[in-house]
Amino acid sequence: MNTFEVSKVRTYSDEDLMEYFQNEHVAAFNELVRRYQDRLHNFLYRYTRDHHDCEDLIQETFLRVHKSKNSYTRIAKFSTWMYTIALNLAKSLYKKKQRMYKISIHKDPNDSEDFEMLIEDSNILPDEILHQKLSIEKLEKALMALPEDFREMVILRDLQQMTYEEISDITETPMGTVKSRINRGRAQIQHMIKNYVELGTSF
Amino acid sequence: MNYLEKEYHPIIEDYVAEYVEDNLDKVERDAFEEVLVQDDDLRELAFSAKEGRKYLQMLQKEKATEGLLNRLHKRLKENN
Repeated sequence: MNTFEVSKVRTYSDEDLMEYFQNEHVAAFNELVRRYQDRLHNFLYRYTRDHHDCEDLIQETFLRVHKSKNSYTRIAKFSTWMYTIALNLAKSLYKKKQRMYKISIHKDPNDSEDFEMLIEDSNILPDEILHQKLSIEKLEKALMALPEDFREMVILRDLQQMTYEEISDITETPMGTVKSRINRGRAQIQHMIKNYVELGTSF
Repeated sequence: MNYLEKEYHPIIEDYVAEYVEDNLDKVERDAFEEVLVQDDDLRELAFSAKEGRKYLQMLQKEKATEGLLNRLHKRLKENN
């Protein structure tokens, strides 16, 4: 392997960067963070729908990449290895949040101070922007309503632009099943929002 | 949505995926559309998936918040 040169850091492949990082070049690690922070945020946000939780997960993913750098081998594509870590973290948090949600909805009938509050939104939006915002929200909700196995594959394909092979590796699922779930996941999205958004209208 | 209960041969699923993503050449697409004409459920699956994919492409790209790298290095220091 050639000597690491900071000035060329943006030209190295992900796998080269990992190898340089294994040889203690922190700039290589920083470059991997720079390359993937937005993509990971976009991916993990679909699980958390909360930017703060999302950042925590990204940090945790990179902390694990940092800690486990020597367990990475060039046989695997770096992005596949990293997304596997991120996906497992996202699933854990998602399950934890679902449990928390189930607990929090039971309000205490004996507590006189436990009541719902209505907060008025003072940000009045023009119709078009409001429609766009509501449509996107509907779309986000439809995505969240998909069965988990379908959702993760749809996100990896349509929001992360991963190949079917990569998705098959990350989720450890046969290729035929990956395609079948993505086909049905997309179709269910359409079904859930078809009454809400007219075809041909822009969001 | 009868197609949700149906299982198609992997080759058909492959065709649906390629059709949805416009990766079929004209001959393949025409042949597959002939198949779609004959099978209502498969046609619904393919058309719905194509529309669903269009919707998904409208989702905005979320970006990481500024200064993530610095905060990450701070955590790395704390962990060491």
